[in-house]
Amino acid sequence: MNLIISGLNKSFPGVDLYRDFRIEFGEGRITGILGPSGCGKTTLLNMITGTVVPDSGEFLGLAGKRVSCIFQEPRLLPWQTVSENVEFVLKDLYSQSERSKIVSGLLKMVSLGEFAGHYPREISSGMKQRVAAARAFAYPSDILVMDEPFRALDLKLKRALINSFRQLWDTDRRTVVFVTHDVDEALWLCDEIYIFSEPPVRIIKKIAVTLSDGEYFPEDNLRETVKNEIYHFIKG
Amino acid sequence: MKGFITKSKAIITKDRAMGLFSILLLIFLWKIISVTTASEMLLPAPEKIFRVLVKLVASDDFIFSAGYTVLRGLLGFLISLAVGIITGIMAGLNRTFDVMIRPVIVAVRATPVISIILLALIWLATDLVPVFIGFLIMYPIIATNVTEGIKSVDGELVAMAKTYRVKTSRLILEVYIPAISPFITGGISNAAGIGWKAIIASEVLSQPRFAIGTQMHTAQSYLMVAELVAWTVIAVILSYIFEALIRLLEKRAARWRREIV
Repeated sequence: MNLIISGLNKSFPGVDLYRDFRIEFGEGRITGILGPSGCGKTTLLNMITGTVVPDSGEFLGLAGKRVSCIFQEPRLLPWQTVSENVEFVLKDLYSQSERSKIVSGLLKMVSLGEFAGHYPREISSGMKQRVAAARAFAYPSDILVMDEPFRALDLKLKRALINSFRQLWDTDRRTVVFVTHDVDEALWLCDEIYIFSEPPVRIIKKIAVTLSDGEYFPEDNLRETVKNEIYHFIKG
Repeated sequence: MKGFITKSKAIITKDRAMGLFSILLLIFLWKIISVTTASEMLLPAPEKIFRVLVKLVASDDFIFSAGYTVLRGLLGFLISLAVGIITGIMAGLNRTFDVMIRPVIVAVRATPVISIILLALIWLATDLVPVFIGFLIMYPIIATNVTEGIKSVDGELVAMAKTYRVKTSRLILEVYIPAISPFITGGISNAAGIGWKAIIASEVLSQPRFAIGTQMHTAQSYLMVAELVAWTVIAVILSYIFEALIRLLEKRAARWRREIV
């Protein structure tokens, strides 16, 4: 079932972020959101995760669904090891033996099996983000929200992490809402991209990216065409 | 890496040697003053204190006096710790509760210890007075530290846990408590030092049957200065042991924070 948000209203003192806003995210698809800073992209994600309450609005397809998240910062508990951090989100749902199986399987998938007993401070920032991705996929969510998870990484790490993410997602296709400022990232990952305006937010353009072919560096002409189109809309 | 560890060990050994030297210096000064004053009534010599100390420790009453004082200290401390952590967390998480409890804590902190002891003498049985005093001294320190700790917890970690619908009990046990553990151990360390002194002072005034404070009072009444100083040394040693235990606890709690060497 698609996630459909409609009649959304949300304002903060002095800013009217969303006014009777509607957006739809396809089930089992990766939908990107591009837009200027401060236009409420993160707030939208926080309303989906339930950590921010909208003034009003209907979230169709969210009731009873679990949501997992990958943020710009890995948000790992510094006092828990890598495997404990992944297990942290599973304790209320699975038995000890089930948890161990899920955790070791996912850590292997993100090439961190050997680091299961390490504390976050003992691993690199790229590895921390892979732990966060493993945690998000370990949790049996229907929807995954991502808030610029690759932003703090250099190009090499970014590429490795995107590939890790893509592998995880290919085996377990969840509905993904992906906020980014990076047009290339959006093109590497997304099935469709929304371009947001300044607040009060409206969707300037919805672009379908039907280029998901396993290669995540947009070099061909078609990608360039889409990219130029996106830049055109971002610039207004 | 090996060189670094050897260097750290050398620094620790040097620190310990300096600490021991400072204690020996203190005893030496004490000896000089006692020889100068030449009065057992004013300040007995260190070796005399040591002899009295050995005699006291070997006496039948020692285990009861020291044991009951430690028991009162522990009881006061554990009650303060439990109430301090619970109300500290509540104040850290709930603004209304924080605003309501803050004036109470400030009032308790500002009231002179002697006033509370004198009132407690009227209200409570002599054995309970030191426990009550210990609580009133230690509780505000622990509660304030815990509240500050809760306020400093990384909101993003809490938001992450909430997104993953982690149960509140686990959120407190696995996110809040580890995050505030340095604040708790810091509070405990402060509170225990001040609390221990207040507990012995209240024993001096409340005179329970078995207590270090009672023994000090008796020694003072009969002008047995050597006994008075020996009991003081015992109180200092017990406080030191407790502090060492707290440091051990602190080290264990901060295992994850240790540098990779």
